[in-house]
Amino acid sequence: MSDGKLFAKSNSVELRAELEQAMKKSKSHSRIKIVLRKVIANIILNNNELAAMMPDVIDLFKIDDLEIRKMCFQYLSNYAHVNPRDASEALPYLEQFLNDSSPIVRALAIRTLASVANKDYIERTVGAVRTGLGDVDPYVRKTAAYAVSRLYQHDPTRTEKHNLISELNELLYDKNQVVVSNALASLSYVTDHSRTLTLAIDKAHSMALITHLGNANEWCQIYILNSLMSYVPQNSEEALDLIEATIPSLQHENSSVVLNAIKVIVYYSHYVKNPGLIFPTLPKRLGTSLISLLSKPAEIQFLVLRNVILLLLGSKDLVSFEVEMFFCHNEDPIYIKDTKLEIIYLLANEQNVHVVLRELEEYATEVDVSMARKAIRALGNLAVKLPNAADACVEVIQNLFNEGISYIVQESAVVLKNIMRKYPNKFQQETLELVKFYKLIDEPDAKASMIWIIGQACQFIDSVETIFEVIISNFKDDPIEVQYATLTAATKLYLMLPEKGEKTVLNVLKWATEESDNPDIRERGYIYWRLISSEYASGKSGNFQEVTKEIILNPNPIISPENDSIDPKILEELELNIGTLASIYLKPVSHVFRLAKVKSLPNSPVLQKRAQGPVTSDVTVATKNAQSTSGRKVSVISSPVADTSFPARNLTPRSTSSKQTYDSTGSSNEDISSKDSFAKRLTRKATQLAARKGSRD
Amino acid sequence: MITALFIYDSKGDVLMSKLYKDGIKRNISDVFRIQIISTTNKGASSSSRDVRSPVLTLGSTSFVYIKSSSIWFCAVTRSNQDCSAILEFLYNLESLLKVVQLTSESITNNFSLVYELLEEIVEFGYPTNLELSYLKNYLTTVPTNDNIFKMSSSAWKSSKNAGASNTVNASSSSRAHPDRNITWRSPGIKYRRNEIFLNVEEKITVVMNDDADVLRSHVDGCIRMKTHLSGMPECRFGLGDNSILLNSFNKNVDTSGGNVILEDSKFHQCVELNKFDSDRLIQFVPPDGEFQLMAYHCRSNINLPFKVYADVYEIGRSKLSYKIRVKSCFPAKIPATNVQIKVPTPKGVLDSYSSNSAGKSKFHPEDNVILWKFNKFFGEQEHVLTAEVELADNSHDTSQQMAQTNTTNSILNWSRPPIKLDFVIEMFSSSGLAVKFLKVQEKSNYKTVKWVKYSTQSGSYEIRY
Repeated sequence: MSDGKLFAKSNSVELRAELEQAMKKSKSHSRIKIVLRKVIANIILNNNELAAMMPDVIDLFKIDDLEIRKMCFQYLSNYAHVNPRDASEALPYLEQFLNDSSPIVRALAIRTLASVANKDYIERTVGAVRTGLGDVDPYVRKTAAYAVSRLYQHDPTRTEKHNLISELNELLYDKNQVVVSNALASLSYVTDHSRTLTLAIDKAHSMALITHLGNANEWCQIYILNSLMSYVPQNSEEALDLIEATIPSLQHENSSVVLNAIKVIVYYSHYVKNPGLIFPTLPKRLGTSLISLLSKPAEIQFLVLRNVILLLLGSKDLVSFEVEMFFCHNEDPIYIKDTKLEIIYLLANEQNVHVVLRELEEYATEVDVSMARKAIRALGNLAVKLPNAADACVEVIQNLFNEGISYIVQESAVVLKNIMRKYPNKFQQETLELVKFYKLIDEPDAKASMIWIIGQACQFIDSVETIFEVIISNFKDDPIEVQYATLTAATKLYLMLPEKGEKTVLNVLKWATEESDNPDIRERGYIYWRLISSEYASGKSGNFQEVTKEIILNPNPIISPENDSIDPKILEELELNIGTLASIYLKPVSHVFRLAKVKSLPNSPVLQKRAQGPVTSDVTVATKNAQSTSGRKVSVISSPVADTSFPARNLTPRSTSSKQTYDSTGSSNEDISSKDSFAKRLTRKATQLAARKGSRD
Repeated sequence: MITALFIYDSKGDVLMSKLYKDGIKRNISDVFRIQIISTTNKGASSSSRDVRSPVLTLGSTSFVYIKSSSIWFCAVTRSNQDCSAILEFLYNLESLLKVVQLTSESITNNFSLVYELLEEIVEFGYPTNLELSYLKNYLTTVPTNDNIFKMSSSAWKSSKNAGASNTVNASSSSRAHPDRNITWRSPGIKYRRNEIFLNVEEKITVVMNDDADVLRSHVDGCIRMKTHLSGMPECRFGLGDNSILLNSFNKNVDTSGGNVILEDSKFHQCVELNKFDSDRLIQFVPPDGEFQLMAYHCRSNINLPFKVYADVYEIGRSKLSYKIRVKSCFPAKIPATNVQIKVPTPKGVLDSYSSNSAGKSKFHPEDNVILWKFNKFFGEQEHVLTAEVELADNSHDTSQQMAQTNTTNSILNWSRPPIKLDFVIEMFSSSGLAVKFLKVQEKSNYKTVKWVKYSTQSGSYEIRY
């Protein structure tokens, strides 16, 4: 008998008539079941009109058939809040069922009572739950445990007032271990949503829970492991015992058990001095455990990879990986390839850089354009991160862009600009090679970078003025960051090569000051104009534009990959949330989920202080913030958030700090921060000039 | 944990919905449909590109979802929740409902059963127990003969009659093993013939260069068991002496040849993990029917089944010559089946010519690949493919003009995608893993027939040249 035909919307009048018919005929039970199935179909299809037939359904409680009763219970749970008046009629039946001989019926009665938020139900439920918590059958006790949470969500004050929470607490000492685990889950709901209550367990209980771990099914193991986070060890031996006891769970095939076990181990390792000394193979075990999870389906892989990033940022010494395990496969979906690239970047060091470079070179020649771009960006970031490997990285990049493929050249321009900032006077040869491809550049990022490069290296480039003319031939239509770059580069060109640059700089400045609509461009144009044409431009010794050169040709602050790290406090909180949704976004939990409770490492005599990370105040994350131009980032902390509709109201606006914190990705941040410092430098110089003038008079 | 669960078909119609907690309205199902399903269906051309993340968060509400053939499973949660548990639950639910492939008919035809199931397996949003044998005791609806569940409906009916409205099963299953709560197996199973089928399935992933030097390789293996055993048998499983399972105490491992080193192994929940950790003993009471006992990962001392020497060079500007030599390195009596070698070519091939010492080779212009197939490839053999492809001649290739035209027809611009090799080899294990013993102990002391089968499959066998 296929239910497919029953899966359609109906109305209460029809069904009521059908029920009446069914009661009259023979084999009434099976006919009634058909009608009830239609009712269930309507519940699924969200048809609230059926609440009108509540009295008829309640009548069916008289029939002693478990299947019919179950469907009536389901009807009641769903519609009682729509039709509270009629729902009250069911209460006497439910009370009767609470004392039924079958534990299934008892449990269902408790569950249905607790699911309904009507006032009269809540009153009866308190008593029912209390009896249920002490029932002889473990299935009923388990249902009663969850019923406490259901009550709590309807009416927290009443639940607490009637001491139900403490009675639930008693269940933690139940002799049936399934009941214990489910009571833990129920308590975790209550503590998560209560401002005042938290779960606290003592040492004996934590060891008892560990012994339960071995016998429990996978879901119970998850709840038990979670509860272990509530114990605060008072000395190192306790913490070590617990770590050792949790290690077997790393072998479980359920990835959630493994991730929760890792969460527990990382938590307890904060209370042990030098965990690496006592468990020398722990990093390798955690590492291999996580890697074997990579054979699971894509979504789970993604979660595991995000947590790998979290662990690498926060507790690097606790995990050891080989970078080859994170090399991308062709079939991986794009979000996994992205995350793997970030991990490869984090794991790259002087020893394995050659293997990594070879692999990145392969990706850069792939057919998938976005993958190739990310690979090149990763190559650039590596060059900045590892000074000893910079030559090798740049060689690879040069091999790639020499093929002359458009998107590769453009990406290489952006990347090479960053490299030049980090190593100011190196790589001239490679720069010249890149500049030969200037005609391929049309994307804004790449154009701005190329213009900057030309401005920096104009002394080494032959016929630089013709090249420059061609590139900026469109500058009136170029986007803003390109226009900024053009202004600065034109001025630099003029300063360093006055004969060649004069015509260009005049053109550019004229246009910027007279024809541009953007006030910032205009102002900048004026500033440059006045600097160049000022009578003090050549300074005391009369060298050409000496003072102007001092101002504009200042060496840029050297960039560094400091963006690798997140604020230690945030890391601490995220580590307490390994495997949860927050670990995907790698942001403070309360930023993503406003109502979530903030977690932090509880204090104890043996709490190890985390070493202070490098001083970066904020997480510069790819957000929908105006400063990021494009969504393509290989920043270490790039989250998928930028591409999901993540409402900006949940984010506190982040200002890039006035220090030159380098965002390892975009050029735009650097432009804006250099604009800030530019203005500051100018005011400084202006006051100095004024002071000099004043003193001269 | 989970506030609501929805199952959709490919168009976005709701096939199943279950609300577990307050605080959410039923019409939240529309949000998911609009956000995810509609956008995926619209961008069908580059579908993988549209999937940015398997989790969508709007405000405080998150949608954690998976797709099984054409069916969407979506769990709605509020606030920060354990995402790993939810994903594992969704996959477990999928495998619980699926026989071969899940279709919207199989769900609508059994909707009342699925609805009842969803009520039993998740209590207040927390998954409790998805084991079939346990659920049989609590579900009242009979499944149709579509076999929505993995077991046959006849076995279902027999146990249902036993436990229609009595209380025995619920508590007796926990009393059967007082110190272990075996929720995955109910007592009282009987078979006339007690047998166990063991399948060791391995997937080997290799990247090698054109000289058959291995750049990296690893094996992902899993051991699947199908048991037809009566009662509550205790099984003991042992691997060959030469296999080393790494644990906390092995600091220096002998990586010389001959040893199988399993970097990490994951076990089914029925295995007693603490016994494994202390004594390296795999002891378990198996669930009835098919299940995956263990999954492992092996990175060293791998027996490569195939070695490929690839020689690809250009003749002039428009011709490409291939000489691919494939050598099999497993015992001569074993055949590899479904052997397929994909040799990629650049785009714009005008003419192709290939000859081979065995098998069939054919050029497929739509995929730009030469496909070399074998019905059976026996061990310790070597075969060669020689091929030549002629491309459209692009002789005007100064770099500037190249840049302007941006063509990829020229050999110069060809990115040389790797050669791919696919195969299935029976009775061969590339990690060298061997099952040494499998002992079954049960009160009635019956004899068990055991069958062991090994197979190695190509995961991703790539040759770069």
